[in-house]
Amino acid sequence: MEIAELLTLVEGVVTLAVKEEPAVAASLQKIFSKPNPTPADWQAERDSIASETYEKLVPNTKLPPDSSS
Amino acid sequence: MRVMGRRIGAQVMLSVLLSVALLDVALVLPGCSSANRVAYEATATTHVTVQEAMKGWNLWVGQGKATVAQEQAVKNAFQRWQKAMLVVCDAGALEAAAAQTNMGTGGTAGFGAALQQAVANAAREQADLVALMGSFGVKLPGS
Repeated sequence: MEIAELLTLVEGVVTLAVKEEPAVAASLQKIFSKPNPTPADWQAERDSIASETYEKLVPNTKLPPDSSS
Repeated sequence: MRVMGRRIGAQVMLSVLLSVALLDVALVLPGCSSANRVAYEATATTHVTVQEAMKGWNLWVGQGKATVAQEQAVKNAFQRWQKAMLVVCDAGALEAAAAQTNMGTGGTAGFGAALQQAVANAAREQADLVALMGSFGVKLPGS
């Protein structure tokens, strides 16, 4: 896929995101507002990802909390 | 019920399209001076969109459409994606630090190469996660 096609696809999807999920749009705006990400930006993203668990993201789960394999 | 199903489909569609498109952009711009920024945007966007996919999965599970075995498989895939993303963030932090001291690799060697590889691995794990959800019946684009 060419870059132009990719960018067109991204533009279309972001437009859809804005329409479907305002919170997603806000998150994307924050992400794309950083012209030069710093190590602190990467660390913040790392901390955010590391703090997530399946149980937090899927509160309807029927799995026990410690069911990692 | 139909509206909820459509919502799940839209969330997963966003996850697939956004992350695939942005990760592809990150991978095809290895020599660009903004490789760090593109990788960061791809990573953070992937994070947001996986969160959306997991919301869709949560709705699916709440509807009683997932078995315990399927849930376990998705949980395992999510954790593999999570580990891969942590590696991306570590590589990204190193690349950003190098860029700050005018030692940025521009994505062609050293930390930059490690960042590209990490992004590629995370993309694979994310694709596996989304494909797994799709295989269990969550509506995907084109399915």
